[in-house]
Amino acid sequence: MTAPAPAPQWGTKARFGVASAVGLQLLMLAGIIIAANWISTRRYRRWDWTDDVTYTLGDGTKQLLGKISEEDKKYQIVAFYLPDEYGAWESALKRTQDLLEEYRTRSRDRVAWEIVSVASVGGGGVQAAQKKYDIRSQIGANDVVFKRGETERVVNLREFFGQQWDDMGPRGAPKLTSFNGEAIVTSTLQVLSQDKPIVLGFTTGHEEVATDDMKGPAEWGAFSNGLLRQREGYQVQPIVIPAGAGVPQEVNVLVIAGPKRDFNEGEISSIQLFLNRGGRLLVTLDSGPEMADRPLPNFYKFLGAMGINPQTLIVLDPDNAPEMLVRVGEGFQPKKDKGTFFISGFDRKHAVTAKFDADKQVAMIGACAFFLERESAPEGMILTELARCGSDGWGEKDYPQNQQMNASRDEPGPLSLAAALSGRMKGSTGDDETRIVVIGDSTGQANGIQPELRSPDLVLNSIRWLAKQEYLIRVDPKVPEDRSLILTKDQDSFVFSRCVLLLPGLAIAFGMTMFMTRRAA
Amino acid sequence: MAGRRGDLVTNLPALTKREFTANFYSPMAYVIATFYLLFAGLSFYILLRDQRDANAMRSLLTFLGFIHTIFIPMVTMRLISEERKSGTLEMLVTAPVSDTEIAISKFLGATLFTALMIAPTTLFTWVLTRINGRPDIGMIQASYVGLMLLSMSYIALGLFISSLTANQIVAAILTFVTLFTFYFLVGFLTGSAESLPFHEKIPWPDILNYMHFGAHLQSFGKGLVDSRDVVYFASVISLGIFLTIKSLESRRWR
Repeated sequence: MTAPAPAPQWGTKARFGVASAVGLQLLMLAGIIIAANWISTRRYRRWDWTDDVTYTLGDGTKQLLGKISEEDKKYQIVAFYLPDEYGAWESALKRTQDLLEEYRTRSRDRVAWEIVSVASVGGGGVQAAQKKYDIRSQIGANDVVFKRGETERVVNLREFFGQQWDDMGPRGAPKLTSFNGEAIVTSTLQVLSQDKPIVLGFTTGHEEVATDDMKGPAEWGAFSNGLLRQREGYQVQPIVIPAGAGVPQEVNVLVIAGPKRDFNEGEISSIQLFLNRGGRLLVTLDSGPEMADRPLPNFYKFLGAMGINPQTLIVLDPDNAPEMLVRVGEGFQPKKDKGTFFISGFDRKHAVTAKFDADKQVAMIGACAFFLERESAPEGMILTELARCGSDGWGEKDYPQNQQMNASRDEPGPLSLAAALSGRMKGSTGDDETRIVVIGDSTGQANGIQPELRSPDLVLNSIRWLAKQEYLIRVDPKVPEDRSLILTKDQDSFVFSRCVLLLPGLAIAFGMTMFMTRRAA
Repeated sequence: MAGRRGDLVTNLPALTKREFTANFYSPMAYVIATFYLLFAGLSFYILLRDQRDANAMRSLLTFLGFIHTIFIPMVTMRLISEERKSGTLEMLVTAPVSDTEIAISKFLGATLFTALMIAPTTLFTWVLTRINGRPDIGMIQASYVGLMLLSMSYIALGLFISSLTANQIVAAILTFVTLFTFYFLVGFLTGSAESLPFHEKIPWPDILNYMHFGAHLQSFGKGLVDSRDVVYFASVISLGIFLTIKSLESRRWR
């Protein structure tokens, strides 16, 4: 290193010149920094490094948020909750907060959100919250309100997640077992974003399931009102099919749910006309003793012409039947009902079922099976088997008298339980392709008898596919990995010794060694 | 005499090495590292016991962001102040190295020392796996990236403040006050804005929130690497280093 050079002498003018140059450089740097940050807030990327890609939204959600980000109108989500002493909401709210922040980010601030404790709103209570946030809908203490302009939709916060109360987390709070927030938020935003609802025309006059049935075993009232109408935003409309005159113009998807009386030829030709124009049809069928003496020859013939031949049998699949607690005397005993079972296999390619994971549970109760004849499908249309029962299941033809497989009488599994047909029909007069889904059960989807087995996803995904809303079909609720850790006494000591004592001890030892070495040198 | 631009590559590694190794000659570095590791270890232990969750690392790394507002000033306080006080700075600025090299090497030396100070905390992840915990490794990695970027921003600001005074204590206090303001005070004003009686008078809450260090650490803590946060930290680092260079240059014409 050379000796210091004598410092040059600076005059006031020179100093002023240098100071001005530095000031100018500083201004330029400030300008670059502000510009870089401004641009970065508009054009940015986020990388999700979490092991289970917790924050990565589905393609459908991204597509919707992309559309929303170009809209003029803003969306507002206000989630209200009533705090409790157990901190029951803690993990669920944290997850909800993270999710909503992703929506805000992805929509470029078009979706704003807030999570509000009702107790903290001035004056307290739901009414004060309603007033403060200018909410017109009736809300409860744990409701989430979605707003777009004057339009509002309300969803209960508890629908966002599953909790387990018998396996407590920290401070006695229940553990978060599943999170369905993305599915709910996306479908609700989708409903708000559409100016005209999609009309589901439910046929009447053939003892179909009633869309206002709130008590029966199928409970399609709750299903169609709560899920299809309120949450998914479809317009559920009971209709009468006039003979030979087609289906009412406003109907986007025709639904024939669990008919028990046959259609006449005029009605069949109306349905056929609707399909020839690129119409969409969902059929759910039932089987079992109540259907034994109620054949539907015209309707089955119509389906047969599509390559789908419903069979007069009931599917039993004991291997896939869940055990249910049945009262026996004073107590309960686990028992299986062979006619209530989970679908064993799904088609992994078709849009309706592609996103069901290997553990997906969709219950069927008293299911009807079909024989699929691809060569009988109308020209230009592709027939796909969507779901089937297990290979040990069978189609029982003498139910309920016999419930054992009889090779000479019954149909061996696997049997088709749901099928989809799509394509442009020969001679079609519509611009769109025709789509049909047939499901061999009406009861299991809405299930009023065993709500714990209720599994509407097959019907719901079918409706979305039929309504050309494939992007709303998404993966099942994410199940957060259980990372809870309750330390044993040994583990506690292990953590304390390694983390609290060892590391600082090593730093001291290293320092001492260095000090001694230097001193010795 | 300032070094030529082409010498930057040749001089920088040697200068950085000098700055980095200088830390180990001072007992202060070991005191800082010992207390830092004690704080980190104790915090991790308490968080793990309280949260009963392998993701306690997430909370720890976010907490360390705050703890660094105390420890980084101790690392940066001596960087230039000490050299100025002892007169070695005069020798350094007249050596054939540029002010840019001096500033960058001091920044890199302190960054390496901080990284070395943080590195032992990765042992906590190993401890978690040893006791059958299932920590989210991706989330932890992102948190470390965030913590390093935050620390580098702190170092850049601390370096600049250290260049303003010959008194190490003044440098440490000023750095702490600056970091505390950007980490805690701004966060408090924006985060609790609605509950404050004067919340309507807080100017430009969005800009204020954007300047909040903690807000930019949050995404990393969740396992998300966001280009906006990276740009923000890069901006603070560039600004700190640029101001340091200008502060060093100013000795020639002030």
